Amino acid sequence: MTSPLLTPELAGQLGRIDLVARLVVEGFLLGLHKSPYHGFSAEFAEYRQYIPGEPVANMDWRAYAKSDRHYLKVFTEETNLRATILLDCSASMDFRGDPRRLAKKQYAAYLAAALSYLLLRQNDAVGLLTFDQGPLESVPARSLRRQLFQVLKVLDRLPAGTGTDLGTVLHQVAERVPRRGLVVLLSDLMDDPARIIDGLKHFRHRGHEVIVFQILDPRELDLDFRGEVEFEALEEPGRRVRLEPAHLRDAYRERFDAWRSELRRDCRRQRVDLVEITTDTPFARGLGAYLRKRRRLY
Amino acid sequence: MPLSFLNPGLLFGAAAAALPVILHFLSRRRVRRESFSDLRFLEQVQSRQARSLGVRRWLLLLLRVLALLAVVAGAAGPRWGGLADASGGGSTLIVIDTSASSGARRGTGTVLDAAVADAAAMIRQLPAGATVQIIVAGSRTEALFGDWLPAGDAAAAALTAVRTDDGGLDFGAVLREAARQAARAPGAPVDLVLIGDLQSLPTDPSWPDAARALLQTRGVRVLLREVSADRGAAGGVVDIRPPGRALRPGETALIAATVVPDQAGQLFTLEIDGRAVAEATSAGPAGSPQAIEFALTVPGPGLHAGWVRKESDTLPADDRRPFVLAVPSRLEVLVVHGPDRPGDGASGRGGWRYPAEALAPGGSAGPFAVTAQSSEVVSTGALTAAGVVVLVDAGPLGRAGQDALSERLRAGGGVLLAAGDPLLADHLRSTQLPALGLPAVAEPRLGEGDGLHARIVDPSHPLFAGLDETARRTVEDIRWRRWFAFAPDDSRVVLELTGGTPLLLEREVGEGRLAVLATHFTFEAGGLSRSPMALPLLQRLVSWLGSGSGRDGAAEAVVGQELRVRPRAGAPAAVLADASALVVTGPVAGAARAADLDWRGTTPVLGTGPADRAGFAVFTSGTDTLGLVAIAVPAAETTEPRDGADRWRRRLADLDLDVAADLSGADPTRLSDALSGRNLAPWAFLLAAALLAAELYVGAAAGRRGGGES
Repeated sequence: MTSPLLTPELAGQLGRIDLVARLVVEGFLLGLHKSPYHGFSAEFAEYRQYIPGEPVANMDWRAYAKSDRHYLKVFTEETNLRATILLDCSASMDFRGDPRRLAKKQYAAYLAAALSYLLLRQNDAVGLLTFDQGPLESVPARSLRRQLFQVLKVLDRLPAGTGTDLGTVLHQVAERVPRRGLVVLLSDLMDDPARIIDGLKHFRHRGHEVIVFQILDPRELDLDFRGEVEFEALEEPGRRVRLEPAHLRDAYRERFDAWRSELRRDCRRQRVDLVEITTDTPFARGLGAYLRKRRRLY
Repeated sequence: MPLSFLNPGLLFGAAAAALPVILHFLSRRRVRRESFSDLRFLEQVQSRQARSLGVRRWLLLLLRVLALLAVVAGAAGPRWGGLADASGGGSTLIVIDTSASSGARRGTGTVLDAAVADAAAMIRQLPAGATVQIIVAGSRTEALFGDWLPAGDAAAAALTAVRTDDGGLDFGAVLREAARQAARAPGAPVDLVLIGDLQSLPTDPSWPDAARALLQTRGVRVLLREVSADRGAAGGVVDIRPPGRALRPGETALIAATVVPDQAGQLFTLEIDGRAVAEATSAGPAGSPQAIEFALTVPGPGLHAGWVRKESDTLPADDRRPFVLAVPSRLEVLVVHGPDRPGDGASGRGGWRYPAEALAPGGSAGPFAVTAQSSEVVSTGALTAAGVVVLVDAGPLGRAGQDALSERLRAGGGVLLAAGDPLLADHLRSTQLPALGLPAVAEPRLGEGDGLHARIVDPSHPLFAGLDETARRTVEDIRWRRWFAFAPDDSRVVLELTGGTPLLLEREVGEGRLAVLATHFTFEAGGLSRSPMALPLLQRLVSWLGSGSGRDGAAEAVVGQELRVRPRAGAPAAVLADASALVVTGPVAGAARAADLDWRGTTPVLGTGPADRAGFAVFTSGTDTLGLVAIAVPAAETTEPRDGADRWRRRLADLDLDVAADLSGADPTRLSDALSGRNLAPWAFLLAAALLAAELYVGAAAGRRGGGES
């Protein structure tokens, strides 16, 4: 399904987020056998009487030729998707298990950029909100071409985050997203699962469809460290744990998997799509997950 | 100390055990620091395992240190047991007992076979660089190799030449030869390994000096290995006792023997000159010595080769025993009396005619050929030629005569000294008694009234054996009125006067027998001459004294002894003159060799070296047989119980030779381990591998436990 023209590693080397977004999406679309995006543009709903002074861009000249009346084609704007991308900028997202790979935050930024590019390309409205313990920056959702520039500008200079309070942030953001739409959460979900789910329920309560990209580093999954290591928490400098990962790997994995399973189960209950990706996963997988969601919605 | 090392210097490598300790602490200081997204999962597993991980860390360190120490120990060549300093390059002196008892059955072979196999196994197992020498100890004690050989197959293969013989173990000779070989040993220490049945041995006064000589050599350690025979009853013939008197051809004589039957009612056979002539059955229990008698019709005059045999048992060496039966043609009796004096009467001085008449009544040609000569005229030749000399109140014989008498006595002749004349007291004290080896005290005594009776001290004495009670009482009824009171010495008292004064004494002097009658034969001195027991008593006495008569040319020896024998009486002087024609044959058939001729004063003695087999050695010159020697197995090689390692350990300790190790119970294939200790190196390396495996397991298990506890 995908043609991984741009791998995360290569994206990291390119550096320019706009270019990355475009290459990711174009490569992704080229790899599709049959585009699902035909007719995604605004769809015709009805004709209405032209009121002088209105723009003539949507004037139906054929109808005028036949009836000598001015009609405007009315497109159903309600059918356009409003997507709000929530990007976790907490310190835990700065983790990078291997210098050759992207940090989780950077990966999330590239994925957000690609999603924005894809959404705007099909005239959906895209908004962006970054957060750590609280909202940081936001770009209201619009479907304008220049919206991509606004979004990329924010993504290109993401701040170094601090701690995580994902549950609170989600509640706050849920109140700020005015209209029903698609909420895309890019985060490692390193918080209490109950509080995260509580926040996501808030979105669902307000009629939003939610897709969550849980972005993890492969080393967080396998704890592949050698020798004795003193780990320091990214979100709480000074908090340290000293151990030999080789001897605790299995126990760690078991607990970690249990945590992820709990998230998976709760998301499923709330009809929230949870997409688990690692920073060595091609971006196309994230885009594919989004498109599947999009198709179910409209 | 049971643990030793071949290369103790390598133990310094144990310092390497500090390496994992150092690395352990260095690694603890060299902790990597990593940033991580979320510590909660790490904290959960770390907090629950912090203590076990600490213990595990020290356990791992301990396992690593121990593994390293095990490797170092293995490289140092650890040995368990054995002897210290057995690090190769030493010398092993193996003494193999090849004496007659080593021929005892053990399994399908003999004790010697097993001992040789053990010695060969030991030689093959000795470490490289070790040298070995073998001493075979049987009839002769000698080194098997000309010089010390390197241990290995070649030296072990040479042991196939070792054979058992009929000799006895001469432990003194073993010690001396061991000292000699140890002094030449190329390596030290010298391990002296005694392999054999560890038989019983009579203590020999030469042992302490020989042991001291051995101890003076460098670093000799004594080890024992007992190779015992199969269990089971073993009997044998311990000794044979022909009648202790001169035999007469055709008479019936009893040949006594001491035997040990290996079963009740065992049959023993007497052979004379290769022909079974009598049988006797043991009556006592198996395993204990008992006396049996063979009734033998005495063959014609001459030397006869005799055997007493039994069925062969576990120890065949003592199941037959040789002896020489000497039968004289007639017993030559010389009566030497003092010159008759007026008034001595018809019986002559001291009544000398009574014994002469009693031995040859009416001058008959009986078994005794009696001649009588005055002490003033008797010749040394007559004294030397007589089988028995009867001295009746004899005067001085002169120095030459006295010497001839003494020599005859020591050479197997018999002497009866009968003295009752008080006038001869000074001569007895000053000359006669000292010359015969008796105490120079002889005081004349007179009995009161009718005189004193004499008591038979030992009725079983050959003089009285077979006499019934009446006959013995008749002897004791004789009254004695005049006698000499001799000082008591180690002579046996045969007749004792009332009051305890000895009347008839006897003793062995050299190979001969001496009897002293403390009176003479006149009626004034005693009633013997008129007693009905006079004739049988005198004939028995002279016959018993003349038991050595006719034994010229006969001798008995044990294996390992030099063979010596006087030529038979009447051997032509010309035969002895040609020493080059003297040959000795036997005991091994066909093994003839030259004999030696030696002279002891005027007496020729034939001789040859020691024999290593039991049987007969026959000395000949041309067609003349000059001597016959019966060679028996030494008594210690017969049915004596084995001493075993414990008693030998004590015996050696008495000689200041401490036994460093008793290898008796050791596996024959691991005798070298007993010397140099059991090689623990493979076990040390195995332990090291096990410790490393344990280290890996503990490490892996910790990881698994981490999962299990979650």
